[in-house]
Amino acid sequence: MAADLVYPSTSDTSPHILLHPLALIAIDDHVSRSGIRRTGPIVGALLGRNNGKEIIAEQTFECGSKKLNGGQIDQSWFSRMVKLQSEIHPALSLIGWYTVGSEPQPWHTGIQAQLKDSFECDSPIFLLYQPQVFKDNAVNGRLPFSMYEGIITQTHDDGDMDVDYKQGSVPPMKFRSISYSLETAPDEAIGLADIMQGASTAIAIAGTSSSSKETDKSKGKAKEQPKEIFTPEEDEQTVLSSIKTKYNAVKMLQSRLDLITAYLKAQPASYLTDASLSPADSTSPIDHEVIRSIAALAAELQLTSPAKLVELTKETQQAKTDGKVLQLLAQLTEHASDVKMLGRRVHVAEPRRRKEAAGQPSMPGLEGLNDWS
Amino acid sequence: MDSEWAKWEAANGIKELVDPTRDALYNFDEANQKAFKSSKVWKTDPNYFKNVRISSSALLKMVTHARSGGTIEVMGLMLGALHGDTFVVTDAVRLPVEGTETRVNAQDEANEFIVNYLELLRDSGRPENPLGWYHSHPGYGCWLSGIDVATQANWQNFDDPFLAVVIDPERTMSQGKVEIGAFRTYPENYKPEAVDSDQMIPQEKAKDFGMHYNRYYSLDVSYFKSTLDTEVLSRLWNKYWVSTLSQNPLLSNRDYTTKQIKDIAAKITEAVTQQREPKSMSAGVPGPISKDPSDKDMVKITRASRRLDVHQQAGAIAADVKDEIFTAPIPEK
Repeated sequence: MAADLVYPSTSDTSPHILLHPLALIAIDDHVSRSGIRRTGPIVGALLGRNNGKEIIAEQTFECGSKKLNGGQIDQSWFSRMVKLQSEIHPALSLIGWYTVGSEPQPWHTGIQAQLKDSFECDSPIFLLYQPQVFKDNAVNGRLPFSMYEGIITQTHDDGDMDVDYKQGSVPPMKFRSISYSLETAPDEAIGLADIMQGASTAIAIAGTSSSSKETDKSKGKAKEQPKEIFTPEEDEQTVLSSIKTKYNAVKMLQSRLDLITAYLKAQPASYLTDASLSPADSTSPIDHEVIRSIAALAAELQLTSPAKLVELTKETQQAKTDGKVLQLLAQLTEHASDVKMLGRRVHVAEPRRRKEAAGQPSMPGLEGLNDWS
Repeated sequence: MDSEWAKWEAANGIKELVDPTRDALYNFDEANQKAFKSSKVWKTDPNYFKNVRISSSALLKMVTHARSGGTIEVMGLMLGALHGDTFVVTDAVRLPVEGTETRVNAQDEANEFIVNYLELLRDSGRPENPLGWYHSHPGYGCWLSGIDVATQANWQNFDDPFLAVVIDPERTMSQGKVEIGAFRTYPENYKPEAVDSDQMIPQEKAKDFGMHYNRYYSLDVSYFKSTLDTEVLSRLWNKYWVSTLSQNPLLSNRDYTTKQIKDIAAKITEAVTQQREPKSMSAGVPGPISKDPSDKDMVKITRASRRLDVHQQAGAIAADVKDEIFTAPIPEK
């Protein structure tokens, strides 16, 4: 029955969704919390911008489990919350909602209609968080959710749909899947990278300072080992972590290239499946689309060298030289500081040496050092 | 409700998504929290709280909020729980106030919002307590100014345990790493042992910093993520590695670097003038080596310039890698 709820075809007029990872992580948080505390169901609102062509989902807020009754959101609670949210996110408005499930369910249409009718949300988008995605351990796993928009179907042949709802006023509604991509602000990316590299698991530790050790545990061998051999200073850590990120990215690029090479190598020899291919590729003997994409990619490589190569080289060279100058300056500053310290030491030691040379007793403060026997 | 939830939970496999041990911090024991709060164990030791653990969601919310303010300071509230000497921050919410550094009573304006918001949260079944406040210091590092100290001391008087978190969005961008600090103020009459900060404070803020730096201490900050986050993040990485390769921090941080150099230059000039002033030499008699105040300044300047250098190096590596992969001529065959 649920399958009937999904409108089969997509439409060119549907908006494209840009989702910020912040919203996704916030939904994670909501799901984890509800899962642990066993409070549910999980429903929340999406806040963002709608410029007609694209809908950008940036923030979320949760509709607490206590404010969900009979598949509807508590009207007055929700409008108060929306008002508060508009105070702190003046540029954003209510653009849709989310819940957890495997596919659209009849009760989803209730909330979809509620958003549309009661909260001036013109064409709400519906994010369905699909945990079952995590079960397939694909390397290039897709993100665990689908996006839908609600459309009112004119045909009345699906009368069984709103049998669950006493109000006949809910018009028959279907969900049409819409495309989405991720949009990440630079600051968001930095936050995410920090979480990826540095965040530990959420094990509760009965508050001692051992928590810092606990943090290291989850960082994996790469971070633990150098600690035992030598302790990199904070400065070195910065460089190290930047190199590590680059290394991972290069590795990723390499693995992608390897995949393409492996795919191409497999082609002429046999039209049969290859272990390194994803199932989608192996369904047809020759996937012309894939081959064409690869050909296009190879052709475009020639174009990636920038048009104004001379200027670019000059600019990067300049940036590098600036960096070197800065390095020299830093060293100079350090040396100046060292020299100053040396000067002071000489200042203390020199008179004493001279006095000793002249056969006089050394400075009073240093006497203790000489006759310790 | 319970059986309904159980059914729904089972249908969607929610249980398999969380791990009672690994996700323990997502739980909340209201009675336990109340008991801890009334025990007032932290009253005996001004340094009682030592750690802060911030959830992935709260961290992202704070970082993007700080950045959204640009050069204007922004402010928000943190929610969470207390675990022994650790503040566990599980959520963050923006407050409708700006310019927290220039106005003493900024947070008063937010009080109405805070009250309303918390009421709505509680109503809906989220019992977390307000745990602290965060605000941004765009470009001048994480520490507490005089106004911040007053604000924080006020919070600690009314609603202790309370925490202050500061985020510097500009340094976050330039370092490619979140610049964050967590602080608690000392009681009015408490004299802490020598505190030394390696913060690089811009010249125009140095006075403010110097007047209040011994009124508070900083806590260790670490982050935590859920089992679910780990799954999602590994999938997100599939999209991110591209931008990691394509960015060029040397170019994007130019303004910040210039500002830093200017600041270091100003500090060097000041150090030089101090050095030349005859009174600092105490009429030719050298003091004990470590006590000369200008030495400390020198150490700070050195450290700041080294840090800047390190960031340049990291940026240069990024540029080199990019160059090597994308710009280097393709060998002809």
